[in-house]
Amino acid sequence: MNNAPNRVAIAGVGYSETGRQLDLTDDALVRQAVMAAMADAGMTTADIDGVATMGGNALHIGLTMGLDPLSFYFTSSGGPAFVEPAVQAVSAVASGLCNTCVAIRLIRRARGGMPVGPSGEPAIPEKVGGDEQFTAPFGGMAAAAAIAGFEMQRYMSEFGATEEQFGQHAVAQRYHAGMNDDAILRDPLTVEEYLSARYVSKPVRLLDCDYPVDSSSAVIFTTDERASDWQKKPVIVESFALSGTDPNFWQLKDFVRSSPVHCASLLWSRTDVKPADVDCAQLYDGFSIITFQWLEALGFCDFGGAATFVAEGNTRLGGSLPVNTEGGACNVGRRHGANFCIEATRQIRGECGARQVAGADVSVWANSVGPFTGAMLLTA
Amino acid sequence: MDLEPTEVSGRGKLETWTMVYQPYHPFFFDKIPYPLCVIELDEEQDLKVVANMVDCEESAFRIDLPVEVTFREIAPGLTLPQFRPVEDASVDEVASGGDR
Repeated sequence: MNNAPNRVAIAGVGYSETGRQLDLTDDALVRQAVMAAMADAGMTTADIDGVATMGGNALHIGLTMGLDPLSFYFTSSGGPAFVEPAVQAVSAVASGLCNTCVAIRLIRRARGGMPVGPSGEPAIPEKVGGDEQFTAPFGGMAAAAAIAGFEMQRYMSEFGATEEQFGQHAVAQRYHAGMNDDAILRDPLTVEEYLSARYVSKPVRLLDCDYPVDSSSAVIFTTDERASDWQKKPVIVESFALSGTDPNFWQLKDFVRSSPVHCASLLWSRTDVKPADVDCAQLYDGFSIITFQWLEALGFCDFGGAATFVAEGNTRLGGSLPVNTEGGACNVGRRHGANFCIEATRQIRGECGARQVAGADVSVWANSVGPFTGAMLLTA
Repeated sequence: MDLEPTEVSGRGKLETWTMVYQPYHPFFFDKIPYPLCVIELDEEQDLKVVANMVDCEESAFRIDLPVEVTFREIAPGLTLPQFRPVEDASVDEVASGGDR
């Protein structure tokens, strides 16, 4: 028996076509993303023996793409977005279960599902069960309410943060997106424009929400020895962590110090790297408040300090800690965390052109909020 | 994990809230924006329920606002627990020991 942990590195990253209502099947999107990641690394299907995915089924994906025989496969049944299959992939490579594992997120924009006006067709069933029976009768089924409205309101009330400060965050992210050819929303944004966007679940505005798309993303993890065989500079997984702390989004023990706090403490306990060593951070922005929570949980500022930290320009390119340097999911589309892993990788490789953080060799990316989270620290 | 129904006082504190502007069911189309609240019941830390607030202006919402349950028929044959501010909040806060 020899399951001594291997050091793990990222060898390839890639995206499918990404957009709204793409006329592509799930299989086609996944195939595009995996092939893009293989091309990035210089691999063929014979070089991959593990598949971990959220969206689709890992066995189906691996075996229909010719990634056989598989030594590892994992299909998410619901967790903290892309970081869940990514952590499974890293664990499988670290333990020696497989040599090279591709982590995938397939996500599609909801189609005609949720009515937003009196002319819409009801899509929510008249009967609900499980946890929803305790929230749906009160009109509590909207993600923006439970995942972001409760958290953002509590944050603003507890610390006196302002809507303008959240606007500064949206403006900084959009500024970065303007330097990213892959971004969907690229036009410069002002705080005034942010403040004129409609409320979805006050204080959450439309521009606090990520932009739903059809997309697949893929990241190939392998041992650091193997990674040096491929064409791109290996990016090392210095530390990684997964966390679960609460049963659901409305029963959080603390609405501003949720699972990211536990996750960050695990992440830093497994490395000698310190928050001050981080050159840029890629922090989930399914809703703006999530990025704020990660800034604080990871120790870049005190609890309640993220709003000022952002408003002072620290998170802008050129600031003390550029954050979401590709524009975030609000602007590149809801790739559900995979975009942050891929951007952190590209920054450390030095591939980011106009938005490149000079000398970036340490980046942290983090995913989800509330009940469950995960994060990874990547180094050159 | 022996769970059973337990009677509670119906009193608690407002922990956080949001005003929902985008409805996800036709029932709520003519009710937006409506307040969705998380209330921690007085009986136990972390014992939380989601409900709507009634008889309270949005501007009066604040962390730890003392509230009490009121049962309202929101549609024919459908009665739900809703919460409203405790009328004499200052007395209530003293009685319940104030902020935790």
